Formats: sequence, structure tokens, C-alpha cells
Amino acid sequence: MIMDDIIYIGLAVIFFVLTWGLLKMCDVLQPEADKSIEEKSGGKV
Amino acid sequence: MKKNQEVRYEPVVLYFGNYFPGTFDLLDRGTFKTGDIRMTLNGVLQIMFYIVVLTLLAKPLGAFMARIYQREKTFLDPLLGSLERIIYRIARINPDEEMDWKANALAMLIFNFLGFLVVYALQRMQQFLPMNPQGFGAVSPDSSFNTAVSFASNTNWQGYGGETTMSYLTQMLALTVQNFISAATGMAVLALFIRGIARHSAKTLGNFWVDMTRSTLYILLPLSLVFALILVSQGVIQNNSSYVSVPLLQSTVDTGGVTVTNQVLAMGPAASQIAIKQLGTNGGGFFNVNSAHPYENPTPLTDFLEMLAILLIPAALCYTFGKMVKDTRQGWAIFAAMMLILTVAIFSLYGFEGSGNPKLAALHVDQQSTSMSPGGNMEGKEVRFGIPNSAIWATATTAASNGSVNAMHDSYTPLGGFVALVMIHLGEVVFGGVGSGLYGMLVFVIVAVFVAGLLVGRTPEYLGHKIEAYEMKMASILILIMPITVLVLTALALVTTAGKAGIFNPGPHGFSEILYVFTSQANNNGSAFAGASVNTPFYNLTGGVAMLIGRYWLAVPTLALSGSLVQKKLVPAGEGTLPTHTPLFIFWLIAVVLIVGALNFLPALALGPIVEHFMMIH
Repeated sequence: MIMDDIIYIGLAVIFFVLTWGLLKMCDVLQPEADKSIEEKSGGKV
Repeated sequence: MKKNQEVRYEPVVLYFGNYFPGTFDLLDRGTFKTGDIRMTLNGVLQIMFYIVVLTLLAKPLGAFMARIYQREKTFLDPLLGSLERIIYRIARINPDEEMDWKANALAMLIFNFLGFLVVYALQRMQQFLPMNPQGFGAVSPDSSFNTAVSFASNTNWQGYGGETTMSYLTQMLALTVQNFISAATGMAVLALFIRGIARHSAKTLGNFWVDMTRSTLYILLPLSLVFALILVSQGVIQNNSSYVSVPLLQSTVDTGGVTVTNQVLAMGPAASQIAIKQLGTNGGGFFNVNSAHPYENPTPLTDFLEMLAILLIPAALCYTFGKMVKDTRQGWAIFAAMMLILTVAIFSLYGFEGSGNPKLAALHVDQQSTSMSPGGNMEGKEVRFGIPNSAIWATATTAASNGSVNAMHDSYTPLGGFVALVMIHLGEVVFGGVGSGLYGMLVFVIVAVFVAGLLVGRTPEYLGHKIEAYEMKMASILILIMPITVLVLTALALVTTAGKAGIFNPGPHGFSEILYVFTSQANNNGSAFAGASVNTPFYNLTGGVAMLIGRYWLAVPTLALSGSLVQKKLVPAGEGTLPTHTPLFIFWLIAVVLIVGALNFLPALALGPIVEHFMMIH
């Protein structure tokens, strides 16, 4: 039973790590959007 | 009138045509034909009363919540202000320190993961802990996983029966606490998202910890306290007693041939959990049959108030949004779009259930509305609530991500079940979950603005923000994740032995049940179509994954979208700006929501409730 607990908690850990990866992906994509605004607005945001 | 003379009032029946004119006339009773869309005037008035009361409450509560999220003074400050400051001091939170979207998203993820661990541990160790008068053993690992995810993610899907599985401590410390925290999490994410729209040329969205604390302390706790007391006054139980065995008035024989003379009545602290389960759009019942149980929902008044509580906060949050962006017309426009879809859905469901079942008509079962019978399809419904109140509840609970029930959705007519499924398939954006419903709808608003911009060839804008490539990437992720999760997992269940083992009904109805299982979980709804056996390792695991994806893989891109919007310079409204508060935009928004929902799910719905309907009438 302890092994089952480790597996299910481990699954949740893996999911939250993947979600952190999604967060990083959204972050990496974002500067692209910032840049486009800077270009269009001609300077500081 | 003579004393004691019995007076029967025949209900006024309204006729709205037959949804397949001339197709069937199976009930040989003269005027009534199955398939007739009939509603009683009484039922229509009850539905209208519900809608009016909900609308009237949206503004005062919405204005109050706006003050909470803008950290303005309220009448509760003298009572709760010091407690709020103590919480910040203990948790070492600086309430004036704002965070960007990433820090807020990380805070949400870490906090919710810790919540998952606590709920999991309490279930697994409940046999060693106090407040367990029935001596329940540990919950199985797979069920503990599913339930912990379910309550942390505001889904409240229940593969277990509350009164036969959970100790009072688990119900209170694990489940009820999560009911508050998960609801507050959704509200906090919404507050952060709204600030992203309300602000310009900024970096920060606010502080997740502060929004969550204030949501719990000033909104959810006071409302739940008052509501729980009202429920107790009406007969909802709130105790820590052992279960009570009472003698039956008339003995009976069980399926094994044994004479039964006593019945065990489950007890427990139900009222406190039911109040927040409704207000926080959680939905997880204290008892297995949820709000069809007389100890959860004993009177017509509790039924009305519990239905009202499902949509109260989500509806009011529309006005909160308008206040926070300093243009209440924007909030009312979104409210109108949601309310129009909801109203059509309630009356559709009422009409389909009121039209009865031709299979029963063939057996000469009377389905006519009379003073002695509610008429229509009453299978799976409480006689004391009837069809109109079952229709309001089923629509509200699937529109919001609530999931509580006062009737069994599995027993609805195929088209009645279709309405419930569609409401969830729209992405829980028709009021939706507390917080999550409105931020989901705001994503659709952005898509609607973008598509309208494409049609007229102008750069799309929403409330002074240009909608560009990044926002559309995030919106696309948000719209696609849910249907992919639902359809892939449904397909998986239908082709694997473990998945097929849970299906009890053959044909399209069994398909509908499995589609509903994953639709409900991936949308964090939590209601069950019933009829499928899902407390198995396969469904507990796949369902848990669906709930995790449905909650957190949507919340993170939502915050990222907000983090992008908040940085944009204010674009003043010009002649080419699409007004987003007009009736035209409201109908455009409704069209976008319906078209996206239909594109995602119409083929699956055709295999389930739609084909079942045709099988029923022919």
C-alpha cells in the first residue's frame, strides 16, 4: 500500500512539474509579444 | 364552500408545439401527445422568479466583491480586519507587495499541491484519527488520489459514497476546507486576470495570497455561515453523532430474502459543507445522492436557496468585473450573454422533460400534468421538487462548475441529458465556476473581439488593449486543452478493457455516460450522469489527470494572458473600435461560444444523446 501511495503522490508531483514547464513555455513565448508592442509603439512599454 | 371540501387546482398548461410534429402519437389520451413541448404556468413562473432574484442580487454582491478586491473599506472590516492582519503576519505575507503573473501562478500551484497532499493524507490515515464514530478504514490509494485532486481543483467529483466512506474529520478538515480554498483560488485567479485587463503599462497583477485570503475571509466565510444557519433552520443536519438505527413502520425483505426491520440513518456535519459546496461551486455532497437527500435539501425553500447559491457568486462577479474595469456596461454585457444562454437552456431542459418519454407512453403510463401528478418524465426526480426545479438545478449545476444534483441526470430524456452535457461542453463559461467561469468567458470575449477584428480588417482591441499574436496563442491553448482531454480520455475508456468494464448500459446511453464522466471531470464540474461504475483504479487515475489538466493547464495560460495584457499601452478607443457592451456584441459573443462548443463536441454528442433520442422516438 505504501508503494501505491508513492506512485499516486509521484504522479501528482510529475503533473505539477509539467505544469511548471507549461508556465515556463508561456513565459518564453511572451517576450515575443512584448517586442512586437515595442516595435509598434516605437519605444518603451 | 363546505368545510373540509377538497379543492384541486388543475395546473395551467402552456403548449409550445411538438418537437417532431406528426412523428408520434403514442399516448392515446386525446389532447396530450408525447413530444409536445408543454410547461405548466406554475413551472414557468418558478423559473422566471429564480432568474429575477439571481439578477437582482448580482449588483449588490458584485459591488461588495469589487471593494474586497480593490482593498477598499467594507462593513466587515471592523469585524474581520484584525483577523486578516494576523493571518498575513503569521504567514509572513506583505499585503502591499504585488507580484507578476509568474510569481502568482507559482504561488497558486504550490498552494494547491500542498492542499492535495493534505487531503490525500487525511483520507489514507482516517482510521487512526478522531471523529470517526463509524470506524471507517483508510480510503483506497486510487480513490484518495482522485478525491484529493477533485477537491483541490474545485471539481468535487465523487467516486465514493460520503456516508459509507469518509469520517467526519475527513469530511470537515479535508473536504470542507478545500471547498473554501479551491473556490478562493478560482476567485483569486479571476481578480488577478481582471487587473491585467484594468491596468495598462504595468508589470504586476496583484498578490495571489491577499486575494485568496480576502476571498475566503470576506466573501465565502460570511456567506457560508449565514447560509448554513438557514439550512439548519430548515432541517439540514449538523451533528457529530453516530448513525442512528430506527425501526421501520413496516418491515420489508431485502434482495437476499432477509427480513429487514430497521433502517440506519446517516448523521454528520452536513449543513456546514452544503453551504460552501453550493456557494463555492464545488458541488460535492455530504451524502451519496447529494441534494436529492432530505438531510441535505429538506424543503422547497432550501431547494430554491441552494439553486440560487450555485450561481450567486459567479453571476455577481460579472458586475465585479465591470466595477474593476471602471465600466459596468462591460460586466452587464457578459452577464447578459451568460443569462441568455442559461435561460434558453433551462426552458429547453424543462420542455424536453415535460414532454415525457414515448416508451413509457407506449406502456400507457400517464404523463399528463394534473393536480395530482407533475406529468412528463419524472424518472430519477424528486416528487417534492418536480420537473421545473429539477430543470433549473440541472442547468445551473452544469452551467456553473458546481456538479451538485437534486435529480439523477442519467434518468433525464436523451435531449434533457444533451442540455446538461452541452452546458459543460461550452467550457463552463455560462457563469461557470466561481472565478474560473468568468475568466473562461473573458477568454471567449478576446476570441470574439479578435474574430470580429479579422472580419472588418482592423487590429482587435479590448478595453484599450491590443489583441495580438501572443494573446491568441494563449486563448487557443485555453480553448483546445479541454476538448482534447475529454475526447482522448473518452476514446481511451471505450477501447480498453478497464474502461469498458465500467459501462453498464449498452449503446449510445453507455457512450453518453462515459463522455459525461470525462466532460465533467475535465471541466471541473463534478456532476455524474451516473450509471457507470467509476470507482476503479482506471477511472480514478484517468479522471484525476483530467481534473488536474482542466484546472491548472487552464489557470496558468490565463494568468500568462493577463500578464501580457497588463504590460500593453492604453490604446484610446477610436471610431474603428468595436464596442463590447452592445446587444450586437452580446449576440456575437454567444455565437462564438456556441460555434466553438459545437465544433469541438457535436460529433461526440451525435453518437450519444442525439442518436439515443432518435432510437427512443422510433
